[in-house]
Amino acid sequence: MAAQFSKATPDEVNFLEVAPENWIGLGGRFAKQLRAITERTPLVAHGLSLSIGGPAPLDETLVHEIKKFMLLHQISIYSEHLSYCSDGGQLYDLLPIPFTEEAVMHTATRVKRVQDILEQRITLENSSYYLSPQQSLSEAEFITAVIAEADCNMLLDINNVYVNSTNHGYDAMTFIRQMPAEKITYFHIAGHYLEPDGIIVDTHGADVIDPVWALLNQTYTEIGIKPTLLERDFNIPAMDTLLQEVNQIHKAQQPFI
Amino acid sequence: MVSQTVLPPDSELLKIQTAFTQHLRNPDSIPVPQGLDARRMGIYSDLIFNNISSLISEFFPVIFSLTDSEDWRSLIREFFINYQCETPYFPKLADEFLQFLMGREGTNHEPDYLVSLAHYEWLELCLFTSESELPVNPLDKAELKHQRLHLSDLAIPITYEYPVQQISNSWQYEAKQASLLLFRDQHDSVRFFELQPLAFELLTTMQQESGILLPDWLHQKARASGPGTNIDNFIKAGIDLVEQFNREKLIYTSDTSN
Ligand SMILES: [Fe+2]
Repeated sequence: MAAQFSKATPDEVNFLEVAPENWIGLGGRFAKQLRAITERTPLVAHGLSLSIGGPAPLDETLVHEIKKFMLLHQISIYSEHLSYCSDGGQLYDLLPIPFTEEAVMHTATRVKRVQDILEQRITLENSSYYLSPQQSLSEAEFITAVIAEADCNMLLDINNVYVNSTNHGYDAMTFIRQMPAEKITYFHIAGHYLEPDGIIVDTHGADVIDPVWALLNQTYTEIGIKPTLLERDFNIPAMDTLLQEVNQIHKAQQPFI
Repeated sequence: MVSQTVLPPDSELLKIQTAFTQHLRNPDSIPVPQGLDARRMGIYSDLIFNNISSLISEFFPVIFSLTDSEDWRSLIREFFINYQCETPYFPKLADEFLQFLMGREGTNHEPDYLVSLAHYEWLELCLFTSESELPVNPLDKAELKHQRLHLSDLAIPITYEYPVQQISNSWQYEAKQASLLLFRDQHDSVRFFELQPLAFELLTTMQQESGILLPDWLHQKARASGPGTNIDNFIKAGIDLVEQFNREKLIYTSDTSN
């Protein structure tokens, strides 16, 4: 994908997201492709390894490296998942932070530390989750508490709301109305995988489904349009097909411009 | 006051998270934490396992292609159980996997060349992703002859106990040493030259901080190689060899004048 974008960014694409953990310290062919992209297209840094709610010590070296990476590529937004991905070591996947008071304070303290180092607000994304260990707060309470306590921004992933509302049996739009709209800086939209037993797995490996498009439309209507990023990590189709979905985002935004 | 970003040892959160990840690392032996649904826990253990398995298979494609899927799965499972990855960076996961392989005994039915091959695939990736760059131009003939020469850090002379560069599904097992120069070329692809012993010695000497003065070094070697040696031919062959590396821009000089 980077190879394609390094040659030309399609007009439909106004910004791209990169995971800094894939690019920091990287030279050679891929680094040249990234440089070609950053010369033309604004980037958002979308982190994967920070483990903001994790039990292991905060990796401040990583935060400093991300700061340098953002400066180098003139990136102004850094988003991460409201989840964790490490115990004593890295596990490289998004695990569910227990929705508890202790976790709110722990996570918010670490967000503040990251914001001190970066000297700017970070943006936290509502993650998809399949289990909620020792839950004492609702998901919406947990997210709003962390964001208020840490005074950070929010990335609202519309597909994750759909996935979680299905997997945990709540109403998606009610959830979105509970989110701090004034803190939301941008949206994600993506496809997912429906298991035979009805559980949805957030794979980013398929086209966006109609109910998720409908949810995006409703969100635009209620809290206004914001930059919206299409996530696709697996089964990546030809550029034309991807751009149809990007164009569908543009179309959904049209009535509000 | 500095706020604590680390959980205290008696933290309830720490307990929940530790029980959660310990099961994910070793789901066959460590039970699902109390109160959690096994089916949904299985989604997490599959996601984590498949993610690491696919990243490692991309970094070590030859090992992956030669290992049957049962053995591959138990190798990755062992990696989860016995090894803690430190790096937050995905390409550096290859370093972690190599460290893991080097720090274990291995099982009886694993090939004896496994660690050598892993090192070779790791080194290819290191060179491919290195932040170093080749110079724009190669040295000219006069520079090769008169200046102190060094080897680019995008070129690594190395000897393996097995011909790792040949190992594939069709390879006939042979425990035979191979000396190679692995390097990144001008198109950012990684390639290798096979090296004779003298070429290997020349390149490893060039790697040292002092570098070499090529004609002096070749003279010395020619004289040491016995009375039958035609010194001029020997030196010419040596210079031709270095020119081959120089065409790939793998040689640089630390001298600024001359
Ligand atoms: Fe997302």
